[in-house]
Amino acid sequence: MASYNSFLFLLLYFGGTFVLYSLLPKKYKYLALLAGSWFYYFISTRGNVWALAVTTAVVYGAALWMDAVKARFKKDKATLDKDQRKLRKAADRRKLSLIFGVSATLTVALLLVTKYANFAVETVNSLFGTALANTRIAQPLGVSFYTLEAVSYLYDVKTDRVRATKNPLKLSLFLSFFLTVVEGPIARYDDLGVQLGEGARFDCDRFVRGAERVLWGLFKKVVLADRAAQYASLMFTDFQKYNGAMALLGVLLYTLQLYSEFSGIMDVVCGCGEMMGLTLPENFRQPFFSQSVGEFWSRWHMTLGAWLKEYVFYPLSLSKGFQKLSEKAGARLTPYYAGLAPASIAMFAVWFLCGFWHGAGWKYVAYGLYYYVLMMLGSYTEPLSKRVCDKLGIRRETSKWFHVFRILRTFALVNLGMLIFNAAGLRKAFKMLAFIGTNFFRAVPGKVLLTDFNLRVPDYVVLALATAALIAVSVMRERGVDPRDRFARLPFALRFVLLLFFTLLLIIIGAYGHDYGPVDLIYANF
Amino acid sequence: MDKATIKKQSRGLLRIAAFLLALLAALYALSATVFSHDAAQRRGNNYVRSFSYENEAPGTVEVVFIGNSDAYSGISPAVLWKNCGYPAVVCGAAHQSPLFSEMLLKKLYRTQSPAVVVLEMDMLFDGQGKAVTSQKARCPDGPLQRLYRLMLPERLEYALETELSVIEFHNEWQRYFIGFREPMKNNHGYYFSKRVGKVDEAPNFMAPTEDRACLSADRLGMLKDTVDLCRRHGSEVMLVALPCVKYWTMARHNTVADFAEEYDLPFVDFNSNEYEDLIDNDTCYRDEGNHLNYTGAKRVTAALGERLRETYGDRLTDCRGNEAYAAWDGRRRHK
Repeated sequence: MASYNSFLFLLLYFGGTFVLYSLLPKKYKYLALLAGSWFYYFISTRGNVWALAVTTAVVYGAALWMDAVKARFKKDKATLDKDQRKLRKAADRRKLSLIFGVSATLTVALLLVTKYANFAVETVNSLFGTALANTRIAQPLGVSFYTLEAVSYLYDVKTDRVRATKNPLKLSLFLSFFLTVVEGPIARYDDLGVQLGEGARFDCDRFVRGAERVLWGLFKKVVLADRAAQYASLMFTDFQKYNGAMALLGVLLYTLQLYSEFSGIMDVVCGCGEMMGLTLPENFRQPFFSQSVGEFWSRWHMTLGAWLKEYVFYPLSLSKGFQKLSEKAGARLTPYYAGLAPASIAMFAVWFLCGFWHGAGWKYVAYGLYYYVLMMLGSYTEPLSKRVCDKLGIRRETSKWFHVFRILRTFALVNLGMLIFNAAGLRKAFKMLAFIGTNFFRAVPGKVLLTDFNLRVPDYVVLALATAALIAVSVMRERGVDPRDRFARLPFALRFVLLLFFTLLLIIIGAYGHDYGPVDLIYANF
Repeated sequence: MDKATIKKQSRGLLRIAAFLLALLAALYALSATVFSHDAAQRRGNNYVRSFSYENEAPGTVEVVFIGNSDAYSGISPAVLWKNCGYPAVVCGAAHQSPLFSEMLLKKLYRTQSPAVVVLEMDMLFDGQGKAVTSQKARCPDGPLQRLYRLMLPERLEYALETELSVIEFHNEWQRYFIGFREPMKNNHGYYFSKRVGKVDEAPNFMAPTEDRACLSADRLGMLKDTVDLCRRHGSEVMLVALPCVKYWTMARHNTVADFAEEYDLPFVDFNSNEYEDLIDNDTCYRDEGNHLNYTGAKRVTAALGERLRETYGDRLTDCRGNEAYAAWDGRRRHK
């Protein structure tokens, strides 16, 4: 697969599609995107397109059917009296729920079968000592992403948020769009789907702004993430050869790698979208400035969080069962806990799914539940911590130190989560954690830093400087300053020279080629 | 669109075009200066061996050996010259892949027209694991397979690397901070080493078997593409496996033999029983059975020279005594 930071993707897949897209009349621009997306998907999967094709067909048919049910009701509405209307409405609602239920189940079943079948087999084997053979089904590229988009589209059609599209090509484009199919962002039809269908005219300013974002994304991926990966990947495999401090650095560098890579690739795809006049949803908003893990997840992989909130949390917590539970809790608990109790059940579903979505393994479930436990602890102890702070005279909302303390605490908790996320299993994660605690200062020759990790002194210096640049840009953004706006205000000649210099710098100091091990996109595997 | 917008967009387009041209010019300028192959050679970068043909005058190379570290350790063009008078180069680097070799050959054919291209076969298995199969190796060659191979991300990457050395040798900037290596001598791509690392216990790695080493369809396809490329340019192709106790196996031999049979190519395996007495495990390797040292290379090159003379004697010219090749006589020795 040509990853989004490869020459092939940028020059050929994106470049070719962009040229075609720019040349076609506005009405037909979506065909260029469709051709580019299908070609990219077909080549990347070597023709393994059946799951995406089935999903598209099911979603297309079900959405049209739901639309037809609603249209029939609208048409018949005038001829029905009030009681008949009520009865018909209830019957139609049941019908819509059935169509939605069946089609969404089929779509999700495809995800489960293709992604989790072997995990299920292995779990059964380890639980019951059986020797069932693994399936030979290959996980389709982007299945976790386009399935969520498909379900959201079905739900939005059911709840009247969008009209079902009659053009199957436009729906297919939405689900297979080459900029989002591998790693997201997870888009909604009323946002991206509509934009893709409409197309946009070429605009030089937007093109340049988009290209600047692509370069920044590549910088994060190629200079930072791929360099950090050289250290982190070996440390997670062989931490016992070193000491706790080095293992801790490995965890920190993995966090840096994951953030720089995922957000960098998002910058690349959003930048490419911007070059074509498309606005893709944002996935990151300076997550490491979060004061709590809850806030962290509203700034990290935002489109996944939004999807889970919109399509799991709200439907669950607004369901009749939960309403009843809320009423019962209200009668027995204080208003704060009465609101929290049913929400914590819905939250369990959200975090279980969040973990499970990430991968077929118990460690991913543990990863999701880790955040669930942290959030629940935070929520249930909130009144207590408020009282403690009040007694200690800490002004929680205004104290700068407390603010910094909360950011650092969240950062530490997130890193612990990353350890679980990247370790080769839960047992290994606990081993590594124990190792960090018990062997922190164990004597290790300093030269291993230069011999074991494909990194030399200049690499560590680049890593430090690039991290500083990343922090500086994040601070600017957190203060509401967009560095690209500042950059755009510079004189043309200066911008020209700076961009040229930055592009050459990227090519020269990038961690690719003979001296570095290859680094695959982490989220492309999900 | 009104006139003002058209004017603004046209100006923007011109600026974008100017930027792209400036970027391209800068990349070529860097490739020709700080990051050039000459500079990489002066700094002792091993990977520049792949481009050893650039040190030869255009149209003078008769034989090209292409492969990975086995090739640059095991074949000495100077010895071949001394024995047979064939001007040859080794275009190989550590872990050089078949696809890179193909891209490299494409560039080589712009200046050279070798009569024979010898493809070293360990590169085919580099990074492919040790799995075996009972299935005969076949090269899938339908239009879709060709399209997949054409669209491999590495293809464009390698094409750019061979075209713009700033991309391949970009990391040389670090040398300004951590110091330069010893400059590399022009040995026509051969890596000279007298180090001896004897094989402690020689495994029976060539025991007869019907197994074939597993190889991705792409790898075999790449080999076929390379063979086709050479044939299109009028070169004869020979496949060779150099002595390697550590990684070579009979299953690998069988896979290559299947391919050689399918495409009617001569295949010389120096690990086979035919060459049992050629290599002394105590004196001919530099690293315990993986790569040959100079002693091993001399023997293998001599044997390979004979094979080349036998097989392609009518196409190859003994250039010793030819004025145009005077420099070869002067550079016969490695030291």
